[in-house]
Amino acid sequence: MRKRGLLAAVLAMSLLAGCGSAGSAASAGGSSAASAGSASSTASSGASAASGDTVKVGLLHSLTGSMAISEEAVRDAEVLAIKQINADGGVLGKQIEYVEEDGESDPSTFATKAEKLIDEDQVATVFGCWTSASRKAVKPIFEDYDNLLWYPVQYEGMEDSDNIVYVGAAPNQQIVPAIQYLIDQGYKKYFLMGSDYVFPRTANEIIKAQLADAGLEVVGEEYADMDQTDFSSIISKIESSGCDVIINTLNGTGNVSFFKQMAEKNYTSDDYMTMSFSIAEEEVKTIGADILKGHLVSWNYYQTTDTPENEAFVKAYKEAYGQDRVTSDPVEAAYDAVYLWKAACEAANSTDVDDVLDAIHTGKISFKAPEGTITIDGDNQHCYKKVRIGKVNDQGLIDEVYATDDVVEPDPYLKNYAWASDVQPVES
Amino acid sequence: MSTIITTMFNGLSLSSIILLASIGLIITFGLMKVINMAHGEFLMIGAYVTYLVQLFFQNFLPAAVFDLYYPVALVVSFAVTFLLGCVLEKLVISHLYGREVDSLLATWGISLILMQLARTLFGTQGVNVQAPGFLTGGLSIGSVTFSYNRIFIICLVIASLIIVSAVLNKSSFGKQMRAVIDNRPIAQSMGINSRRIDCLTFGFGSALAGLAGCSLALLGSIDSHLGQNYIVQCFITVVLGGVGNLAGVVIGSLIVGFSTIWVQFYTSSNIANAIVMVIIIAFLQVKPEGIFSRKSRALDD
Amino acid sequence: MKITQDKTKNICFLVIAGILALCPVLLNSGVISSSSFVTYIGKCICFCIVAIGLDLIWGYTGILSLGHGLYFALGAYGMGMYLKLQATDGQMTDFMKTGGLKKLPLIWSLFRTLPGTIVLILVIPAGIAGILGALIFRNRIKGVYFSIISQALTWAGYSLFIALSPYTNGNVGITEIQSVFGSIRGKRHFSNMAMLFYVSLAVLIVVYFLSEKIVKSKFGKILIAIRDGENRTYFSGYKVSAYKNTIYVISAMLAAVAGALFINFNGSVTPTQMTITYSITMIIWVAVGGRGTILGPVIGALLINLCEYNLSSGVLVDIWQYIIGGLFVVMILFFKGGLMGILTEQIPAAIRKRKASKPLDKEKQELQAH
Repeated sequence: MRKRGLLAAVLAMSLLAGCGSAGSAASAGGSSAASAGSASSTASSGASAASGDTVKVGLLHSLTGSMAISEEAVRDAEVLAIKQINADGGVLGKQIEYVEEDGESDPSTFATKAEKLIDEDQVATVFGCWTSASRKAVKPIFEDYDNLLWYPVQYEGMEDSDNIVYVGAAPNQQIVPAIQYLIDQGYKKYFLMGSDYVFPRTANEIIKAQLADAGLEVVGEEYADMDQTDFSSIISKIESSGCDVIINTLNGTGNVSFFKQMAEKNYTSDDYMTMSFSIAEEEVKTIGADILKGHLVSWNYYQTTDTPENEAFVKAYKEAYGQDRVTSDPVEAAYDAVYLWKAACEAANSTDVDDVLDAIHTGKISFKAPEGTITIDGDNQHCYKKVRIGKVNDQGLIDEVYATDDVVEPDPYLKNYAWASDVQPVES
Repeated sequence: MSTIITTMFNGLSLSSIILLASIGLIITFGLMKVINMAHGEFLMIGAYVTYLVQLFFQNFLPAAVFDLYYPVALVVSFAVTFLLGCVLEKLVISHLYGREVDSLLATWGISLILMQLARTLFGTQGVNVQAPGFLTGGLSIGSVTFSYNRIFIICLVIASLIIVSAVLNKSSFGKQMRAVIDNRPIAQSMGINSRRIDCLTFGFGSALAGLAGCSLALLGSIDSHLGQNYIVQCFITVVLGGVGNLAGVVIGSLIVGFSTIWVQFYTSSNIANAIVMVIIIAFLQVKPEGIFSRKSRALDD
Repeated sequence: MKITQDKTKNICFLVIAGILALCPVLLNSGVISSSSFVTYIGKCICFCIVAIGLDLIWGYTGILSLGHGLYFALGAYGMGMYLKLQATDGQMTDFMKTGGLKKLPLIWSLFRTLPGTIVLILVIPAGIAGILGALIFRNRIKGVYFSIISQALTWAGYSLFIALSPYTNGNVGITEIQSVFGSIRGKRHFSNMAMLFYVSLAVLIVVYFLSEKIVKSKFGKILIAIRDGENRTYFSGYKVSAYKNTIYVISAMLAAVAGALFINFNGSVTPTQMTITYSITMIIWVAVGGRGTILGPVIGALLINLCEYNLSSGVLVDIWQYIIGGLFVVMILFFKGGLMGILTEQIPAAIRKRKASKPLDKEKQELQAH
């Protein structure tokens, strides 16, 4: 009996040790009896990121869970850029090797995986995140470890970090111009509707301040929960509010349900115009052009954007992933992020984070992107981008109805707008 | 006035959706006492089957018959989820009778597998079905519009209730089902093949879930998370109504649906969820057996 | 046999604790090269604590709570509020300003001091669990009905925390904080991380032996009696609901303590910690490790989380969900006692069976020889 108990103890401990050593073996580079399942794309060397003729980067997205709906396309764009750069000779002559981690739609998993990528895999930089919750969870990690995150999604602003480059739109490059466009078009009564999380809430604070400054009325503000599928009560509130335009900040699945249920009641863009900040070509494809046509969106890029770089990009993307796939602003921004990093490395002549950051701070890193030339602002590490208001057409793509003549300087804290002082953060 | 009518209709509609998703649970949870945490995934499977049938009609059949895809989808999703339910019962559930808690946990594992299967087969992007022509748009009476697919769902629920009630009480299958559930040894000694009845009963409950999924496909996007959105509300509705009681679950879903819509009217939907859950749990303290409980002198039913 | 089994269990646990204690040392000496891995093990220690708490109510009392994420998250939020106030020097935070609040809410100001925070972390979850338990157990709600209600409660909590975003920052949760000892990231903050690690390990060891004591005592025997035959225990004159309520409160406090330690390692907490999926994942750890053994949940939590750390990356991410789902189903169906059950009962039973059949063969041979 003693023997059996001891046997049990030994087996338990060896199992434990095996799993544990699998973790440290990945970084220690030694061989281990039970290093089961280390991802095949992880190099076994724990040496620094750029060794020999490869440089390691990390991709951190949600591949499972509710956020995976949006993030897979973004990851595909990053992989496309990496493959193109590798075919073209790599970065400073080194081939890019990417390590992919799954954030599982849980911000604390993002934190764990970010730390793993930086500390164990010793990547030179990370491209990733989508939700503000995941970005805010990993921000301190990138700052503490002094690594660099490239964040490809438009967001609510009020943030900057020395260790993040924001390749998506800041609020003055998406939200503010969109509202200004609506004001110029003559819309008087605004209904604000979004999912209940930080981007819609902050965006609505900005919008309310902007509308108050213009003397216009907000007739309703509603928040749906992220998984909500039944919008009947919100639609009744819209009907009784007498609004003429709906500012829509719902998330992915919510958009599908909302627009379908509006269509059930035979409402089109002539009855209630909507301006959406989270609907791009992917969502149009899912929801259907016949339901969405005529509605407005605000981004910096559309698949229909007319530049030679975009023609090549769309062609390459469709060839790699299928003719029925579409490109959208976050997809294009992720693609740009990888090329911007390459440009920064080449300007710094090194893949080391501090050298790359120094290059970025000169304010001269730019890339001839499918949306036009974008440049990283050396002060706040956001990008100079053009603003484009679009209208959904009946082929399921988005046409540009308005664009700024030139790129707009990013102003994440809305310092240049007097009415925005209430929205700005208090914490230093 | 029109706001009140619209709100009442919305409440009725939400109740019918919850009821439709819960009818299958009445059979599996209420009667067989099997907690099927994968019930939500059967909803999802029904919805995806609808999508596949629509794709088939779009690509291989002339446009004139496109609208027929929906009745076909109803039948196909019923059949597919029935078969899947039988398979699940044979492989997993049959080992777990009498072990309620274990059936809950094992079916949770199944639901993880089914969700990942959906992601592997259909990708992580959601898909969408176009409502058939006869269900698009709505019925306009004065200033109020009642959308056709919500009316359809209400009718489908009523029809399902009638069918389930008829099957349970009038058909010989229903009699055998109830016999096996009430007293298995005597039923077996009467010549009823109890294992087969178990399998068919569970399949029937799952098929009702598939049917519900087919209707849910009309309302929103279809992705691997479809089932997760409904599972808590369905279970709590069945518990509220009094497990195993058809009338109870109807009343339960009306309570949940209407109270959610009314609270949402005054606050936001997140607060409404929280408040409705707390109210139901408070109600269960007063009446732990649910609204309609089977009165028995046994300590454990 | 019982005594040797228990002593073996304790030795086994001490060995595991010893291996865990070595991790920071190995990090310092360079054998383990990444501090993020050791931080992750620190998080696993927190998971072990909550797993033990779950084992107390599920393995020993038969109460399956599918909503313990609520208490875990409450503990994490409590500690998070204290740490956030440290980071902002007691001032209002950004999300409060965006949410329209004019000054620091009253409930936040209770978390200004560490002793006060520790008291509240224990008191608030205990209070909620106590009230819930009193209501639910008094009404003889048990078994799966309790499980379903616990799910509904954690879902209500999740919705509430998102809805009250001026107070809790909604989906983003509490971020941009440092642990009680300061920043723990990277080699230069190694001493902070080591301190936090050893404090958590000490808490785990205390919790383990305390739980062992509880289940060995008369109180524990009655819990087992409740699990195995609730009605008989009731008829024997014991106030079953009081026992259930007490152990439920203890388990909630353990979950809160685990959550409070967790946020120090993680640097943030979000309402995702309150979801049903997260709560059921904790149950998976206990089920795989072996319920009703106190040691089993520790092993289960460590094993599954370490495997997930390595296996849910890159190409294997699709397979991980199948693995965890399949593992869970197989465990529940065939290995009710989890890993501990396999090691201590099923394998020895199989060995015994084979040994027992051997002498018969020998006798047969002898008979045939004649």
